[in-house]
Amino acid sequence: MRKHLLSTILFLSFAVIVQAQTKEVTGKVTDSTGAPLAGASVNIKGGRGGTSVGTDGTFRITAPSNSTLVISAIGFDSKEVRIANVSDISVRLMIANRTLNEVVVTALGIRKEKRSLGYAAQTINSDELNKSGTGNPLNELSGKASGLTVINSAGDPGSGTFVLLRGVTSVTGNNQPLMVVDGVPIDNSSNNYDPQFNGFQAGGANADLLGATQPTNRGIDLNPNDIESVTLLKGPAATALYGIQAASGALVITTKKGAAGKHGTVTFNSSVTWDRHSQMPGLQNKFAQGDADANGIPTYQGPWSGQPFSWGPAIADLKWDGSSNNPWDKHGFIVDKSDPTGKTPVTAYNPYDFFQTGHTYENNVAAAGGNAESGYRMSLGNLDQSGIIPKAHYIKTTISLSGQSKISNKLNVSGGINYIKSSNYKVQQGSNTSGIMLGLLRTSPTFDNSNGVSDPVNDPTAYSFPNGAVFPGLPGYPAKTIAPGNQRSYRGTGSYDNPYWTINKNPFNSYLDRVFGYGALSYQPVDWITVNYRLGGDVYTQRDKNAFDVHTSAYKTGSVFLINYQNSQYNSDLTVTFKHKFGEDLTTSLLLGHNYFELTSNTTLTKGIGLNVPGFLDISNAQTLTNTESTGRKKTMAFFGDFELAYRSMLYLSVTGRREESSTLPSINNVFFYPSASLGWVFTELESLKGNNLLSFGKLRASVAQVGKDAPIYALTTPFSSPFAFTDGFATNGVTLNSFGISTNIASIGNPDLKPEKTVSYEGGVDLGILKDRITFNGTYYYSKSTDVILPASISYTSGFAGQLLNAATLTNKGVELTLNTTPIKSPSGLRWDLNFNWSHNANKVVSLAKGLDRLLLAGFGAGEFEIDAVVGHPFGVIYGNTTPHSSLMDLKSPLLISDVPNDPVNGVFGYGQPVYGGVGPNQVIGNPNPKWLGSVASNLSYKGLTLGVQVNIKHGGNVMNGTRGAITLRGLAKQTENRGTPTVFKGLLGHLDGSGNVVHYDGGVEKPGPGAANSIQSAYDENYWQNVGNSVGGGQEVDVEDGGYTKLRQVSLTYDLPKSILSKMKFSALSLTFFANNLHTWTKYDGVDPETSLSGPANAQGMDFFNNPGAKSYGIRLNVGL
Amino acid sequence: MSLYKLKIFAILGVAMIFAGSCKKSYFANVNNNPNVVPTVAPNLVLPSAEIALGFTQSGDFSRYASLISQQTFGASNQSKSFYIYSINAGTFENGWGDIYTSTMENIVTLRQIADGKGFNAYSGVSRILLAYCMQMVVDMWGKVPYSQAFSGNLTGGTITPKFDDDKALYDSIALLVDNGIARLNNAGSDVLVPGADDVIYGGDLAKWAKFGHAVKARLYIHQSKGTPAMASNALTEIAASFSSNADNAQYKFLGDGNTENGWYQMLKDRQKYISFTNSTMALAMSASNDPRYDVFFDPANDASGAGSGNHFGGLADYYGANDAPVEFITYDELLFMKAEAALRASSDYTNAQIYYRAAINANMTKLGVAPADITTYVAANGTLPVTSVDAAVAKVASQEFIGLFLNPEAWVLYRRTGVPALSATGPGAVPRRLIYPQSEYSLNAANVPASTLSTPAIFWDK
Repeated sequence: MRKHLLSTILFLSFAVIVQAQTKEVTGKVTDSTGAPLAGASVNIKGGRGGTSVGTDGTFRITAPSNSTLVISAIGFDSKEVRIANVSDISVRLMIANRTLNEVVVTALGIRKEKRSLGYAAQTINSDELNKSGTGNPLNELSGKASGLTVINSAGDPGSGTFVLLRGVTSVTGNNQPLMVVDGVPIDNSSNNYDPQFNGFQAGGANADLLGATQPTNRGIDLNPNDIESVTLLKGPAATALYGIQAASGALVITTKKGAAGKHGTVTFNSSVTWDRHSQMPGLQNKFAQGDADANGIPTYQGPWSGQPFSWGPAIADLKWDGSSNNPWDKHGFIVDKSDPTGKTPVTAYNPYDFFQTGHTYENNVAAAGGNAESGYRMSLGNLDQSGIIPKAHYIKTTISLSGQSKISNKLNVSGGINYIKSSNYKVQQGSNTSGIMLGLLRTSPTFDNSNGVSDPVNDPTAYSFPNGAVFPGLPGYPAKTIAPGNQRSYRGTGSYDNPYWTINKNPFNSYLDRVFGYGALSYQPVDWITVNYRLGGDVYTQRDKNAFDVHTSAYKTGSVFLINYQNSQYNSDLTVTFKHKFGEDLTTSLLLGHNYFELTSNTTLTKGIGLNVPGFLDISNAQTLTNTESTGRKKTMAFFGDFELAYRSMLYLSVTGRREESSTLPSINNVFFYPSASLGWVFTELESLKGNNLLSFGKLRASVAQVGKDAPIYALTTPFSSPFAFTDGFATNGVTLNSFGISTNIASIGNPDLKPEKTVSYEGGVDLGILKDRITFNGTYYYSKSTDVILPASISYTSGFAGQLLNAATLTNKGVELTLNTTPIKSPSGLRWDLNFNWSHNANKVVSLAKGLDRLLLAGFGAGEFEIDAVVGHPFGVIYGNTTPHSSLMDLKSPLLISDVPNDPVNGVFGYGQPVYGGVGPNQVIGNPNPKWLGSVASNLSYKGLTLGVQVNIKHGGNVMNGTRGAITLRGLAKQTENRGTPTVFKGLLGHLDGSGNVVHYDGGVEKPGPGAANSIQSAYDENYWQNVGNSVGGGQEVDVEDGGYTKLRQVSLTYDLPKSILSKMKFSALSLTFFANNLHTWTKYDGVDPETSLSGPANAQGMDFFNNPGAKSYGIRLNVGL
Repeated sequence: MSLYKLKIFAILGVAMIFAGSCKKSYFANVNNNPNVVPTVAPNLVLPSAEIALGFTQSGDFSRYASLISQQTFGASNQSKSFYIYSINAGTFENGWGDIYTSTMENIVTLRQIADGKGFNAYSGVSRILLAYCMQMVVDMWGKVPYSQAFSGNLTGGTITPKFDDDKALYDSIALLVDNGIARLNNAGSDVLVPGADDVIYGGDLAKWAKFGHAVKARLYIHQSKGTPAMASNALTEIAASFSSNADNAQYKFLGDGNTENGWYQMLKDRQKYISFTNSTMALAMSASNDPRYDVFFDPANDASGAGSGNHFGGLADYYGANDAPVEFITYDELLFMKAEAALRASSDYTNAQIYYRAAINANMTKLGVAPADITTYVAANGTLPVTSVDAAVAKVASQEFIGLFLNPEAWVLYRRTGVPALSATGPGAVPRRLIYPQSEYSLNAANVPASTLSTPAIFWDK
């Protein structure tokens, strides 16, 4: 007791002594323009205590009289001021260079100095993340980093965004990076009813069309206004601590927080964006619906004929007769212009009048602040987006709360919670009879989908016969009465839905309620030990309802589908970090940790077929109901460690290890160990290079890591199946049983011997800072090899089964990533120009798949038609299909084979002198959607509050399969078919295929092997050519494989920030106005919609365009106010 | 205070790591699939297995055999290619896959469940079914996997089974039938027995035993050429087998949309692929004014493919309706076998003719031919030559071939007897076996023998 008292007295007197040697200093902190820099912090170097700068830029601090103050602010170079001889100081902070000393958030939310990293990581900050007004944070990443592929699948509100870091490492598994928000993994699933078809189906009465809208991935739920930064952990070395979940890289997202000791601020953002459709497929508008008659003469055939083609007569030769009894057209019936009943010349309708101007309103208000010990932030955001497709709509409301508090000097608590509510009205796309583009693009220019009404979007007389109608009959087409409620379409009363019908009668509503967040404790019992615990969760319900009203083509009797997805995942991380310094030069730290992860998903589907009351799209109105339920569960647990060693500020070594167990693997194989080692050498710390102005910073880095992925859920055992169905390839339906059995439909039997997939990666790189970081350069080369990749492999049927999941495939990726950031102009007057470049190249190769398997279908129409496949020896996800016979069959670069058969029973009498019919050449790889390289250039020019930003994205190479053009060419609607009848001599070598499929030619009436002489037969671009050779649907599929490369003016923005000097008088902390435009122009050879398109959305198979919904370009204004 | 907190943290941390170490509780049952049943009762598997067999036989197997034996005519597309022997290893993928996976794997699974539970009736039925299927497969391909087959999902199983010798397989099949019948005879009454779930016999175990004897009769008759002992064995089995058309082993499809006859589906979905009335058999029946012609065929609807009344390709209702039966082994086939066996065992022309006439009668009665027409037909065709056994067998076979319309056994009969005399419809001779499917050459290359449409010959094909 006495001892205790003594120490108290001693402590007090010491405090008094310290007190006696201090002095009070006041000061003002401004930025380069002289405006007060509110929120900057003032700290005593090497000592305790500090304060922050008020809104007027002033501060007051008591400090030891011989000490140095460090004045710092985020985004500015800090300054040190000795206070020995001053009591009032004025400090002007300059905007920081892109210094390589910045701190980045790495795996598990661990903050590290960027200079210490032995692997590539790139950070994108908040000011770059909310530029487009789309409210989609993933979309905003496009072109902002190297090694990053971002594909926004369409301009539809709420459409998904595919993100890939480096290359593909899994064949059928997920290849998208893990999304982590404030240290907690969140769900980025794309919940689609039919994953097998990756979001689209071939259509027809038997296909559910639930997967046929543009898929949404849940990553788009985040509010970009809440994001402080996104760090891309690109390679396995960066993510090895995360284990299986981040085997494809990670997007580490840090949200904005309210800082302790900061005055409260309120920021308000508001933007309005106007969207228009971007480029569209070219359509002909010169020829009418119809086809050649028996004499080969193009003849008009109207909707009553059901004619799908527009190979009819020239529209210029037609007239409307003005009669009021054509139920399909108010202008009357179409007759030849020589017909005396003809009144007015026919003019072509423009199907693209269907699209409208979309509007997006984005509003966000956030309040942040704190007292000395605590900080908080609250944010409320709302996005209201109406699409370029009428009725398509997306509304998202987000609420986020976060706070942290210093409970004691040793204990900090923090937490955050986000609530997201969204509703999305989606419109059918792709190859299904309700697909909007399918109906639109196949409509003949002589048919007006809108029926000439002023508001076809809402007026049922545009797309249906509400009260029935009478068709008076025409030669060959008997008179008939159309039943009320039938739809009005260019092929009569259905076949393909009128787009106005689809948007009104085939609603797809998706409702989301989602909560995710975390709570965390940080405890520092002594200054060399830190204990962190974080518990996070992500729970959501997605309720989809898709209905098809009576008379919809796919469901003549109507249908209603209800799909409920409930997903929840919880993550717990406990880490203990020990730090120790050995002498002056050696710093070490050791982190030990433990992780739990649990995932549960439940999907229920209620399918109601046949509606009793048309128009009442409610499940209770359905005649037959089918229910299915599917539950998935998974748990993982891991121990991990990270040992770091830093020698001076020069050499950094990091060794990590993670031992993980997953419930999806068999107990004998379910423990796996993932190690990584990385080394960073800041060679500019060498005495001979230190202080060099030219090369101010230089680092070499190298790393090696092994990561992996576990098996799909429930892949170990073989279930019985019910209903049990199979077919033999000739009978479409086969037999379906409601009892139980083993079915060939079970794609794979359980494999109790599955192992984790394994990727070993090597990475090396250099980071340079030149001219005091006016120029920074990062270059990375990587190579990774993925083995034991799990895929469904076919096995001998005699095993009793058709397939099994096997650890069979091997994939490699190698690539180069370059980033160059420059500041060509930086003048004291405040003029500054930043010019940044990102470039990356990835080469992927499917080394092997499985025994006896050299090709695996990923998505497409199957049976060798229009597929995206994994093919051994090729990059992942190539386009595969049949071809037009060339003179050398497997060489698509060799001259075409021109038919030398005047009356060929197979090739047709019309084919003489034309390329031999397409689609009969060999099936082979015909395209590669993977780009040769991706690049982007971003320029930012600022002067006294005015900032002009321009970003250009380049995708060089990479094919897109333009199935859209193929289908509309076949039907005589593509622009390219407008040359119909133009005479030509097709280039190529004469010949044909014999009965065995070999190239032969006639020589004096005798078949000789190989091709013959060059063609000189006069022919023409006629219907026969376009239907059988010139398109990929009726002919060889390579003809519609196009270069999908583009150069895109991604973003242009002009911002005016009111000067701080004015703002401080107005008591505003910020006020700015921005004009911006997205996707302003795209330079591309691609002959369809925006080549940045994806039929399958956020899925492994990319590069397909089959009546994809168009992309959007937009213009907008944003107001940003800070109080 | 802080020490107190440190303690809490320490306890929490230790507890957490400890809890994590107890992985049994953490991972227990997590990966057990709740969406499917891990095991099912035999009465839920039996109908799947039986209907799968019915569909597979009325689909691929009937199509293969009937095109080769010219009971049908390949008019276009794949059927035309098949008809002119433009056949490659890929042609048989579906049939091979369906019989091994959806059909026999289910039968084997049924046997496994039934044996495990001591449900002898199901055990017996599964063995008879498996024996029937295996015989059909051996008669098409010769050496095939059996002893190591159906084990892909079993511990110690294989996904690359070896191919067993076809002669030895015949012995295995006979043993399988014997075991099956023994279990049927010891079915018990206090355990689960088949009833309505048995869509072939409705749980009549006596008929299943007869079906077992019929399978054995086929095994012996196939080997009886020049081997009187085998013919005698066949007679013994026939005596224990079917005694009327009511015993016929067949599956009658429900025609309810879920279970429709394979021929009906194929002809509807693939119109104009196959013509019936242009087949060698139909032309011969037409020429001989066979009263069964109109039961089998509807010439008016052949060429058009339009199929009024769904008679696509000219196949009439008896075998072509959506609820038409698919026949496995029938009473009339047994009577034809009996006639052949009597001839081969002891040159018993007298009884052979009696059996032969009874066979025609049973066949025509089954098909609903008017009794007067039967009498007329038998009077004209019911006399066997007594010049030689081979001549008499040929006469029997000529009628049996019509009786086996669309049954894969018709092709076996042709190969055994050379009746009817067929001209090749493509390059080379009439196929005498099927090629193994390409998937075996890709996925089980070490075991699958080389094969053509003629070599190696099935062991009984001499």
